[in-house]
Amino acid sequence: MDSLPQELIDKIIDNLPQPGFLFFSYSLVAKRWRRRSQQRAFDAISFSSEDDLNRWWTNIPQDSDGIPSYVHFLKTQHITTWNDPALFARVFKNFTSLAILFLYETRVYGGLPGLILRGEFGKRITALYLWSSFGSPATTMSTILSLPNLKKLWIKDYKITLGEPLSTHPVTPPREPLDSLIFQGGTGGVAESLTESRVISRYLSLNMDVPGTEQLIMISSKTVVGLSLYGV
Amino acid sequence: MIVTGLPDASVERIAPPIDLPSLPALDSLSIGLRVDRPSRFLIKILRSIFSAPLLTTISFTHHEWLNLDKPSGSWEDVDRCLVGMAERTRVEGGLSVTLKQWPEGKVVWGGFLREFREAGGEIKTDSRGWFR
Repeated sequence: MDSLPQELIDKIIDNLPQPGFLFFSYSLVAKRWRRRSQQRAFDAISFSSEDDLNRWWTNIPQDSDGIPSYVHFLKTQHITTWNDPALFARVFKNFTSLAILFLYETRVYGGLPGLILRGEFGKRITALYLWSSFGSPATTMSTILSLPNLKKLWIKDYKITLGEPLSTHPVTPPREPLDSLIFQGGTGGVAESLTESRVISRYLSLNMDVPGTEQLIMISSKTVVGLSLYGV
Repeated sequence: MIVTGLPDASVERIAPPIDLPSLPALDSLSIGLRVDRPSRFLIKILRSIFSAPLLTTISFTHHEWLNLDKPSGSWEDVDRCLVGMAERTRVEGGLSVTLKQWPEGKVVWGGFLREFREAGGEIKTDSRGWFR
């Protein structure tokens, strides 16, 4: 085993049976198995409460090139309040490789745009899913617009809540259009906020039963290559 | 507001087309229906597309498009919308039109419409308003 190059060991691990929990066992086979196994084990994680975040912070070493940097897909679900903003910031800042952020039934944390704009979070995020989640106009749109490498945005049953209006938080529009915007409905003026913020895309998939959706076609009219429309 | 007759002889009020700008890069248009007729918003958009010079593909997806000999009312609705759109839409090439099964996406019918070339061009339809 000692004579095998690390690349070959990594290949062996990559070809082992895939269920995520098995990678925790593989990480115990040998010291040289640990890093790759942990990279696979922690590739995708989810938090269902602030307690989960707290346990992660307490139990997982927070080295800059350690386990948090192995996370590429992060899902939060059923977190409707953030009682400890400092905890959120501490934990999220260490996800330096995160590519996909999936917020499900989650309040978009008000400090998220600040973390992104200061370069402390989200540099590598390419896909953002906002499903059955909610947030103020300013927080929601600032989050969307400030992610520097965002390519895909999928909004489903999102709710814009009362809070700071978008106009109180000047934001910088993305330099490039998104590759893909999927809008499957929302309330509180989601389509209008996306329009006002000029979230444009090359591919649009739109639920035409949501009033205001046609405005999203108008602002992307110069760039849209693929248009997918459906309605009930 | 204008009034559009639908196949079951009911009458539905459809908002007039919006002032949609040209879609100069649009290559493909996909339309999905989940129930038996397109929504008024979808119809409004179809009626509003007036310039899509690079459009090459239109695909439809619907649960019930399994038997093309007995197409559902929704197909007639959308087909009629498309003809309406064609009367004022400028497309530089012909159009490929496909019907797909949901959810597999299997193409159950496909055709190429050479006549879909210019606004007000020769859009050949049968007596029911279908493409020929």
